[in-house]
Amino acid sequence: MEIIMKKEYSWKLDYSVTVGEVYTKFYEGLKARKILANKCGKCNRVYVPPRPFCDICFIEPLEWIEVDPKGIVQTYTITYQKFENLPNPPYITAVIRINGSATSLIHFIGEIQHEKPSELPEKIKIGMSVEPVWADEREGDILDIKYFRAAK
Amino acid sequence: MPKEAAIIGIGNTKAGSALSETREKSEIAFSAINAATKMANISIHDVNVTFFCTVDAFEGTNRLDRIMNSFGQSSHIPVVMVNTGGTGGASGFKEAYHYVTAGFCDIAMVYGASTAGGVVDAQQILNTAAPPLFEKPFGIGALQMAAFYATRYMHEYGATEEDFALVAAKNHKAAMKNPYAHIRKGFSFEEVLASPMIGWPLRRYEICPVSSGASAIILASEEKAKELSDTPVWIRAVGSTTDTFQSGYRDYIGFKQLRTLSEKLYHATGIKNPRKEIDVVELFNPFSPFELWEYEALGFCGEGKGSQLVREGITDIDGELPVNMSGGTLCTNAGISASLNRIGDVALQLMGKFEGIQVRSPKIGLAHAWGGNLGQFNCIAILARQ
Repeated sequence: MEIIMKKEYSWKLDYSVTVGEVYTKFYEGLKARKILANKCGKCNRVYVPPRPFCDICFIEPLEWIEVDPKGIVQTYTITYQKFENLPNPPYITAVIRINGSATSLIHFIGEIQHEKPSELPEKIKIGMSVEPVWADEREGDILDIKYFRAAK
Repeated sequence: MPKEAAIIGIGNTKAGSALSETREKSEIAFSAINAATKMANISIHDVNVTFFCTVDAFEGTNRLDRIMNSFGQSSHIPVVMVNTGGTGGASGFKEAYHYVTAGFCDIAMVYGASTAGGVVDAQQILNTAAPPLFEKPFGIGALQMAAFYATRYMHEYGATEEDFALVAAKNHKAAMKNPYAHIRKGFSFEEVLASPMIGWPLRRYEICPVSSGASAIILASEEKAKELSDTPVWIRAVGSTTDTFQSGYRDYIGFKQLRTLSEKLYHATGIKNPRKEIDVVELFNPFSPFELWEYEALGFCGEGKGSQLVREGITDIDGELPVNMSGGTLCTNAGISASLNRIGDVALQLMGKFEGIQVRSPKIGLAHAWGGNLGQFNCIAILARQ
């Protein structure tokens, strides 16, 4: 069996990205346990997360509104395998449309009662209503929401 | 009126596992390029423009056009790098087609080196393609994005896990006969259904491998094609479509933009009944369920009826419309080759030179690929022997 010689190297690159005023306001809202959205004056689409300009109409500025943070699950998956630097399985990721917004958020779903991981797929339904569970320590980030759970 | 262009050379390497590859990356590309220039009856020095397609983070360098150094070409030869994710090969092909038909060059080459060579964990890399602020933190890679589409499709149209396994088994069976395919295990329907669930509802044998392989295609103008080739494959139409980067805009119900693109290209080529008029298809299925809604988007059946097409054997070997006789991206995914091979394999079928299951006398073929933040870009090429 021949030995395949390999050389290793890796990228560890740091980035520090300016998020802009609109996202800053959204993040500050999350820190205060609010979901802030904005709305296009022309097409009336509501955006969560908010957008610096309407991508469809290509105009700015958009009007700010606070929305009831409940959302509807559009689709989901359950990851059963461990991948490098990705969460420990099983974990549920879902596409969630908050309060009728034009765009969806991706987030985790938690607190799903189950005995075996293989039961998870049938416990989550497309169309189910979910609400955020806030992290105790919040820093102004999408993970200020720990995960979403079935709305009570 | 744009000029005509044809494919006159195709070169592939036999795919294998990226982890157990013994050749250095540029050697693999060298092999594919030589095979392509040989079929085209040209020397590398006859190429006017080179399109190199890739996905940065897979190559471990951000000076991707340097991978092949100059490979025998003079410093006047432009090297254009194209990165549209997994459909890079198809996008590069489209650019090459534009250059040739616009009259900027007579002979263009498109190629991809063995994109995934050197990768330690592909999902980690795919996670870097997720929008950084709002999607990347959730460990989203191609697997999860693909699963979102599959879960939604089941909900919309009642497709089942069995349907997904059936289409995977069809591809695995075809790959057995393809000497260039990576996974040639011929997993049966039962074996696919019994394979471990990786990201619900996607099972291991419904998910592409990480392969090692390179591909190259040579395009030529009408005059050069007639001069150099006995079997030119004419490029009747090429197009692409772009979806949003942030996936939150999507409804995850099939590929609507692909539907619009296919209608536009069918109109341009005069195809009125794609299922009847197209003889051979290679479409992009790194996750087997995608084949089902791609049938729909490409007009082979009505909405939600993709499963029926598979169950009836329409797209199987000896079916009315054979799809993915190569085994598709499901059985071989060497990165760029995955998209370039869709075009190359259709061209080989039309030339009668496909080394796997050769469709009997095909006249018109369709190749499709997608890439970017899962299906952000979709490309189609329609090819013909006449």
